[in-house]
Amino acid sequence: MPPIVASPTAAESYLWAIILFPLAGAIVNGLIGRRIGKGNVTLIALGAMVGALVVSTIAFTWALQGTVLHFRGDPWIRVAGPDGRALISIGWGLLVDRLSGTMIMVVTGVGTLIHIYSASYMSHEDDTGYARFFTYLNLFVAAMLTLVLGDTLVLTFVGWEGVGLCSYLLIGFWYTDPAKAFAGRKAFVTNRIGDFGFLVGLFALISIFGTASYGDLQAIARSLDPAAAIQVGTFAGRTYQWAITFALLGLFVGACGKSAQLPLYVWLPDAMAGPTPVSALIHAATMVTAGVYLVARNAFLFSLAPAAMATVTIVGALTALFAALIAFVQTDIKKVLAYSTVSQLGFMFIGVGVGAWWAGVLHLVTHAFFKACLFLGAGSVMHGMGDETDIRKMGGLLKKMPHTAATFGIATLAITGFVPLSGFWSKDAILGNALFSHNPAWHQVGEIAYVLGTLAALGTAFYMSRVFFLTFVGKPRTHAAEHAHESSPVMTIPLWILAILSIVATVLALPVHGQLGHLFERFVEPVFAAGTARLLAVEHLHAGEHPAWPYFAAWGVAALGTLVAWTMYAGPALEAPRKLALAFPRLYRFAYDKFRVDELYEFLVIEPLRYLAYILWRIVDVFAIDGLFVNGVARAVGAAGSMFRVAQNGDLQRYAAVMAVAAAVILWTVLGAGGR
Amino acid sequence: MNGFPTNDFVALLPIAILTVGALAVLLSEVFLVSGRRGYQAAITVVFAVAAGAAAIARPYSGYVFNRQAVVDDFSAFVTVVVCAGLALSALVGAGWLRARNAERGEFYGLALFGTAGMALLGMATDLLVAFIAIEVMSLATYSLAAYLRRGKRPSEAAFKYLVLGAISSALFLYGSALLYGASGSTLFGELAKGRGSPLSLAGLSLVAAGIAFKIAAVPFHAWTPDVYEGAPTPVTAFMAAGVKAAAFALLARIFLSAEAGTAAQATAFSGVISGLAVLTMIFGNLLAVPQRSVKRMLAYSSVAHAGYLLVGVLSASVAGVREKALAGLLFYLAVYAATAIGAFTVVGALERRSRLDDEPADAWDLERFAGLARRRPGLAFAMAVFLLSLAGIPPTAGFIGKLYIFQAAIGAQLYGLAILGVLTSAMGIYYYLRVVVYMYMRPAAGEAEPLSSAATSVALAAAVAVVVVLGLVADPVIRLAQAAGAILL
Repeated sequence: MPPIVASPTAAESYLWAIILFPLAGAIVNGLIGRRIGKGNVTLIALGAMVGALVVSTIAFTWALQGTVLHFRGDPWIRVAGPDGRALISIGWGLLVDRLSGTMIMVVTGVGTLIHIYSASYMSHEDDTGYARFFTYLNLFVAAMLTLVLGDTLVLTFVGWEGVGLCSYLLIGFWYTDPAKAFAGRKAFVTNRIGDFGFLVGLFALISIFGTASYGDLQAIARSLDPAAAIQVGTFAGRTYQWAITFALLGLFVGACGKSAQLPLYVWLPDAMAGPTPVSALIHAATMVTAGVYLVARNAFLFSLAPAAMATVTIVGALTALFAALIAFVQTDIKKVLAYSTVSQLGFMFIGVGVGAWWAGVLHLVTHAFFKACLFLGAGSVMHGMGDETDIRKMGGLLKKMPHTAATFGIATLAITGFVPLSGFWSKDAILGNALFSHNPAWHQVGEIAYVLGTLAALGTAFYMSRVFFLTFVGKPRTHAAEHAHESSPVMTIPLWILAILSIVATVLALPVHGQLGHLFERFVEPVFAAGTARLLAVEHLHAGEHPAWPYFAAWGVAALGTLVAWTMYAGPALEAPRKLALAFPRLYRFAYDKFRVDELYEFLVIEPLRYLAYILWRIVDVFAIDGLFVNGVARAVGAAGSMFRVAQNGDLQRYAAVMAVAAAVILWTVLGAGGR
Repeated sequence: MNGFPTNDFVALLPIAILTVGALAVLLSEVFLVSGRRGYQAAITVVFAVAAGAAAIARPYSGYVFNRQAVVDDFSAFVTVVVCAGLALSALVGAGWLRARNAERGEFYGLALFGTAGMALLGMATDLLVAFIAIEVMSLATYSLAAYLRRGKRPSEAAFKYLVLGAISSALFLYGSALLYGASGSTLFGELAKGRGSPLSLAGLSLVAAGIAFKIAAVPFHAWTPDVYEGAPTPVTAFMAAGVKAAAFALLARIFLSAEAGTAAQATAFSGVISGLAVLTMIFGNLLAVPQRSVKRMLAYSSVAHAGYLLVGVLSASVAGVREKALAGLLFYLAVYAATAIGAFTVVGALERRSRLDDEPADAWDLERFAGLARRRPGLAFAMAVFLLSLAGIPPTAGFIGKLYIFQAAIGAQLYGLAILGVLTSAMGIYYYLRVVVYMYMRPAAGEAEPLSSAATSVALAAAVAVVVVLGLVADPVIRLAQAAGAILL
């Protein structure tokens, strides 16, 4: 047996290989990809993913057995702590516990499937574009794995920025189209706003605790009295609770940017400009869940700051409902899925916000399966329809594309929350836990989140069924829909794998015999033990069995939403949507325009900034800096240089004289100053 | 063995290797039957590497020749730097000289002799030994500057260098005599004895003036642009790298010996050094700005860098920051050697090559760099790396060097010098980046194909590697330099 399988120490030293595989793939494809042909590019990119998947699986096996793999890297940055406290050392360490182990399995597993799918989906690109695509995709996976595996917030931030960059590059992949390039820029800028919050939170935590490593933070947090006052640093005089709440809200702003929560969600729908596999991998399954991961990773800190948890909960709940409402009337299949992603991310934040971290992470995992399946299905539809994305021009594709339709249907049922598919368990575990949580900072927040979340779940059932019925059921409404064709097996096989995974993932949520809670809850329990213990202590959570009625309610809600959608889009009331739109034209228009949030930001933020930038450019840059400082100083220096140049005329005697005089001046000065 | 000073000779091993190498190259000329001299550069590199290895292995450490010289980490570091400079310059010279059909054993022989002098200078702890080492080094470089006799410029440059160098030697020697008068000894260790007396002050000042000539500090810099421009380009590279490093090693030893145990910056001697530093930083940068000849600009840049290095020497006199300052100084010298050789190599590759004695005024004009990025992207990239390092922009090693020196200056409370250093560095960015702008943003003007040879490419790659790698992971070398600096007092 190779040592990596046999001993955890050996496995630890191989952890970096998980990141280095895709990184090497990106470097090779980036440097020589366009010269070696598509076949070799695919081989390298896919080989890198499989390599990462194999090592991840081995590491995950250790996590399954309860071993935490921790590669303690060499110090990377060493700086003096605030107020002359001990040196802050930040290392290259990697950590695989049950949380990050789950994440790397999702990233490499779903990532590998999407690489396979992309090999067919992107085959129309020329060699350069094809190599560029896989370079970015591999680079993204490397960055995402860095984010997940890093054992300090700093390394997580490195990955955080890396995935942001790759997201930007891939959204604007077809950069010759200005709209797509603009969408990439919008995503990048919005994410930067969030990153600013992340940095504030990171620096605050370093100032409070003098470390950024999760292990050290957790050790300190375990025995911390949140009401004690901080002695040194920026927060001297404040209580720990106050300072931690401040830091965590900063981190949460970063999470809102990356995970597309109110008010920073606006980039995600536009991000659909990228190739569809990118939407599936980055903007559904992995990158956008980074914010949820960040909150779950720091659960032990959040448990000290109930106000921060309340904020996470309410933002998640509002986002879930808000995005679901917008999704009602969208007609672009990818836009609906994008808003659905925003909404589902909101659910995850409710989960991690109320202290049911395991439920949030479980929903992250199941969502990765069914949403990736939905996006890839949408891509398959686009492929068969000649890049058409308007669901009003589809219809009847069930017969033309049976595999796509079947998998899309399974995933739709999963996201809707039908028993026994995976979405039911994860979503309703979140809502159930929300209802029975009592946040000491805001007692009703759990109940509010439950109501908003249940409404959002009703909406989800409605709009997802609507998409399914409009796309696959009924009669073909256009010429393209009549002549649609099924995609190649290279695309449908990943679809089936993901569809089966969205069913099988149900296992994760099965109740454990003889114990309270679910399989996955027990599985990740060690990671969240510290946070859960503290929440139980302050009666934020209650140990014991919850009533079962919220589960039945959720089931009923899912059925109701689906039934309404069926009635309106495939059943007896086909005319109803049009009549409704005509009856409430303004409301319809308002929702169709996504509640005009983009326009609001344009008016409130972007225009004033542009105006300010213009003024600064004219006055400060052109006049003061360029005119006075740069050119003025340059002219003055140039003139001085030319003046002294006269002394340098190549005349030997003069040089010698200069030296002699200089020596004399030195002697005179020294003896004048030093002689008594 | 009844008093035979074995250790003294073991200590000289690197110098002996270099001398033997020089003799081997020169003798091989006698037996030469064909015109092929490719082996000579190889011999030089081998002996340079052997001498460097001997300095690292260091079979004997400590004072030798009645405390007139010392073998320590500091001297080993200096020897390695000058030997590396020699090896790179030999590789550069091989390509450059072959293209001009001017490759002769004398070039390598003189360079090896000169390096032997530099290595000895790094070891000297006695004014007389130092003087001998200076002369060994200088005579070789005077001759090297005149190596291409066929052109008009080299002869003129060498003549100027010789005459002005003689004056500086006279200053140094006179200063040594005064110091002997003041302290009764020529050993550095005894310099502090006569401190305060006018005789000692005048002696130190004159010695400093003599060294200031070698390191090209203002106002003893006047020869630099003319000689750097006139000398064959590989020779210029060799001088910029080796002479400067060796002379700074000497200055650091003398300065720290003379200042041992005094309050920082209180003495007139440090006043002289800081005056030189101020003038050198200001005028070196100021005069580089209007130059259109890149070779001349690099000569002034070499002057400017001497200014920053002087700040490092000054900071080293403060006990608390001595280690950091000396580490910065040594690191800076090593990096500057690689960078300067690299930059001059690119300049040499672009020189017009119509006839040997044909040295048009625009041989190194900025215009010749126009569009280089399109014609020879590799060459342009290397040059860009060197220029960024000279300007002190991260992630190049030049940045780390400046960072250490200015940090040390702030630690030594030399705030004025540190601020001046940073400001003048900013001025430097202008003339360094101007070359980058020409290379990358101007359309190609000349049609002449730049020189390319395998040996030159190897040297360039090595220099780029040094500049980039040391910029990213400076720690190991910094630690070596710290160990070397810790030896000095």
